[in-house]
Amino acid sequence: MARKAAWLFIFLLMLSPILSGCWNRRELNDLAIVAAVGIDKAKDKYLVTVQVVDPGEVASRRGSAGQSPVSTYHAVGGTVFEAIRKMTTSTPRKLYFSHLRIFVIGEELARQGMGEVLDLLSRDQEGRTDFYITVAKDTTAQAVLNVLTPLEKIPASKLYASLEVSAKSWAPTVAVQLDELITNIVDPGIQATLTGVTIRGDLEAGNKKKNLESPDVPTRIQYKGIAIFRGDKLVGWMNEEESKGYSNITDQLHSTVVETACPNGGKMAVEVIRSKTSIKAKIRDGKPEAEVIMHTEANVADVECKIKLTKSSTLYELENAAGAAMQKHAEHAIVKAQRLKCDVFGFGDAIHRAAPGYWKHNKDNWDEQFAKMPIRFKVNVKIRRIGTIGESIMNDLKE
Amino acid sequence: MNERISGRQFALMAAYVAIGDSMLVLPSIPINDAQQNAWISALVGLAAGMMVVWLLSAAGRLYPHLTLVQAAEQLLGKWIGKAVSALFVAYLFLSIGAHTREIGDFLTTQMMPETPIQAIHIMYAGILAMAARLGLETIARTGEFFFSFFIVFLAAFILFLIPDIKLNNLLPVLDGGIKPILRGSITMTAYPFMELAVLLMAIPAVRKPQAIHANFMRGAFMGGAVVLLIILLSILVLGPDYATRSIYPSYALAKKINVGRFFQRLEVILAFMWLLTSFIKSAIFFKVLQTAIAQTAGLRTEKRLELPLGMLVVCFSLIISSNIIDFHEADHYWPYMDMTFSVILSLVLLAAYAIRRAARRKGTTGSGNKGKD
Repeated sequence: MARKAAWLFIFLLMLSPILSGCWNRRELNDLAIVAAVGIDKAKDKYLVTVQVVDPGEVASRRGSAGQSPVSTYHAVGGTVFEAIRKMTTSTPRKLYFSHLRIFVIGEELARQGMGEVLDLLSRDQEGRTDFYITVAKDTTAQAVLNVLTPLEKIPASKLYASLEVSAKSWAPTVAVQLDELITNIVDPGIQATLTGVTIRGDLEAGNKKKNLESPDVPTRIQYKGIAIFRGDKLVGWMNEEESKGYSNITDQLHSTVVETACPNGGKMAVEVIRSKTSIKAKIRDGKPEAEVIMHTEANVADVECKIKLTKSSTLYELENAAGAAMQKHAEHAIVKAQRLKCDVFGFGDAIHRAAPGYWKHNKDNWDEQFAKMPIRFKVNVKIRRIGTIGESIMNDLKE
Repeated sequence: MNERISGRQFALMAAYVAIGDSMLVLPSIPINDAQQNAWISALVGLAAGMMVVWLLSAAGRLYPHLTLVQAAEQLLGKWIGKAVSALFVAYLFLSIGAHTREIGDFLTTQMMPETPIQAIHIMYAGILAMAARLGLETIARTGEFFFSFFIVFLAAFILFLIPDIKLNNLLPVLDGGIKPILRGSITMTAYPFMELAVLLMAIPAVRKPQAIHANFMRGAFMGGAVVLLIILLSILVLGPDYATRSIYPSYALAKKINVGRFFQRLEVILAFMWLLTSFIKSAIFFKVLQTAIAQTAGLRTEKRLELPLGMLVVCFSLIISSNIIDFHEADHYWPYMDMTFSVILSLVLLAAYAIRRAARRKGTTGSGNKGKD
C-alpha cells in the first residue's frame, strides 16, 4: 500500500512540470507588434527605426483617446540586431517582427550597400518573406516612418496597400519581397530594383496627429521612381516613364494608363487591362541580342480630343499609337539601364536560359555586354472596347 | 514477433520511411549540387532508389519468416551474423539519434527558439518508447490512419503554392553537365530509399509473404514521388538560390503560401506533415532497434527495452554533434553508411544464399559428399 502511494506520488510529481502550461508563451499584450522597420546609416553604424502598432488606438469600436495609432522607436547600433535589442531600453514590450509589412532602407545606406542588413531578416526565425521592401528617396527611412497617414491608421499598412495597389493598376512601382530581392542581388543575370518612397510636404508637420486633421493633409508619403541597384548598391533612379517601361518589360505590368496623342491634336488615354511580355534572347555572331515581345490588351478610357471613334480604322491607328508610346517608355528604361550598365530586366538570365555555353564564359563581364547589347521590340496592342459611350462629346462641342 | 500487418500497411510504412525526415532536410542537398537541375537528380535518385528497393526486397524474401538479423545469422553463420547484426543495431541507434536531433533542431530553430532542446528530445523519445511498447502493429495502423490526412494536407500545400510557381526557375536545363546532377542524386537515393533496409526487420510480420514485393515497391515509389514533388516545388517557387540558402526549404515554401491574402501563414501544415512522417519513421526504427537488440543478444523477450533505449536516445541525440553545422556535415558521409546497410548488406546476403545453394547442389549432384550447411 505504502509502495503504491509512493509510486503515485512520484507519478504526480513527474506530471507537475507538464501541468504548468506553455512556459514560453507570449500573449498579445506582451508584444509590441512591429509593422515597419527602417534602417539608415549613421556614420559607420546603423540607425534602426521601428513602427509599433498600438492595438488600442487602431481598434475602431472604442473611441480613440487621441493618441497616435503607432509609435516609432529608434536606436543606433553597430549591427542591426544590436540596435533592435538596444531598443528594449525604450520600448515597453518586446518587439515582435512576424507581422512586418514594410521595410524601408534609407537612400544613403542603399548607396553604400544594403547587403548586410538583409541577412538578419532572412536568418531570424520571426522574420517572414511576405513584406515589401522600399528605398526612402531623398530622405531617411526614419523620416518616412514618422509620417502619419489618413484613411489607413497604421502608416505601414498604408505603405503596404498602396504599393500593392499601385503596382497592380498604375505600374511604375514594383512590389518586391525579400526572397526575390536576395535572389536578384546574388544572381549575375539580373540586377535588383526597389520602389522609392518619398515625403511630400512639410516634414515637421507630418509626425503630429494634426497632420490628419485637414482633408488635404499637409504631409504625405508617396511612392516615386524605381531604384536601380548594382549588386546591393543603389546606383540610380528611374523616373515615372522609365519605371513604367521597366515594369512592362519585366512582365510585372497588369494594368496601367497609356497616354497617346490623337491624330488631329489633343490627347487621349488608353487603359491597359492585361499585358504579357516575354524576352527572347539569343546569340548571333558571338554577340548577345534580345527581343522583347509585348502582347497588350487595352480599352479606350478617356478621349480628350476630336476623333472619329466609331470607325474601326481609327482603333487600328490608336493601337499603333499606344504601342508606340509603350515602346518609347520601354526604350527609355533600357537606355537608362544600359547607361548605368545594370541589367535590371534579367536579359542575362534570358541569355543563360537560351545559351548556357555563352553565359558560362561571359557572366563575369555581363554588365559590359549588356550595355552594348541590341534590344528590339515587338509590340502588339489590341484595343477591344471603347467604354460605355460611342462618339466623344468633344466632337460636338459648340464652338 | 507475433504481430501481423497487412500488405497495405507495409506499403504505407515504406512510404513513411521514404518521406520521413527527407521531406524537410533533403531538398537543399541536391539543389546545392545541381541547382535548377535538382529535379533531374531527384528523378535519377528515384530510379536508382527503386533498384535499391528491388534489391532489398529480393534479400528480404530469401527467408520471409525471418527478420534481417535472423537471416544474417542463418546465412553468414552465428558469429559473423551476430557481428553484422551488432553493426546494424549501431546503425539503427545512430539513425534514431539523428532523427531526434533533427526534430529538436527544427523546432528550436523555427518555432520555439527559447525552449531547451532537451525538453523536446525527452518528449520525443518518450513517445517513441511508447509507440515501441504498443508494437509494430499499432505503429502501422497509426500510419495507415493518418496517411489520408497527410495526402489531403500535401494536396492543399501543392495547390496553394501553384500561384507562386515560376517556370523559368527550371531553365536552363542541364547547363552544368551531368556530374553535379549525379552528385545530387546520391543523397536522394540514400535518404529515402536505402534507409528502407529497416523494413527487412518487419517482413515476418507481413500477413501474406507473396504480397511483400509489390507493396514494398509501391510504397517506396509513393514516398519517393512525394520527395521529388517537394524538391520540384522548392525550385519552382523559391528558385535554386534561395532554396539552397534555406536550411529548411520546404518550411520556407510554406511561408510563401498566400492565397488571396486569406490563406496564409500555413507553416503549421508543413510542420504537421513533417512531424507525422518523421515520427512514424523513427517509431519504426525504434521498434526495429528493440527487436534487433533482442534477437542479436538472444534475449527471451524484447519487452522492457523501451525505457533504457529511450534514455540512451535522449543522451545520444544531444552529444551526436556540437552544433547544427557539425550535424549537417554528416550529409557528406551518411549516404555511404546507408548504402552499407542496404545495398552492400543485401548483396552480401544474396551472395551468401547463392553460394550456399550452389554448394548444396554440388553436394547432392557430385560424388555424394554432404555439404556443410
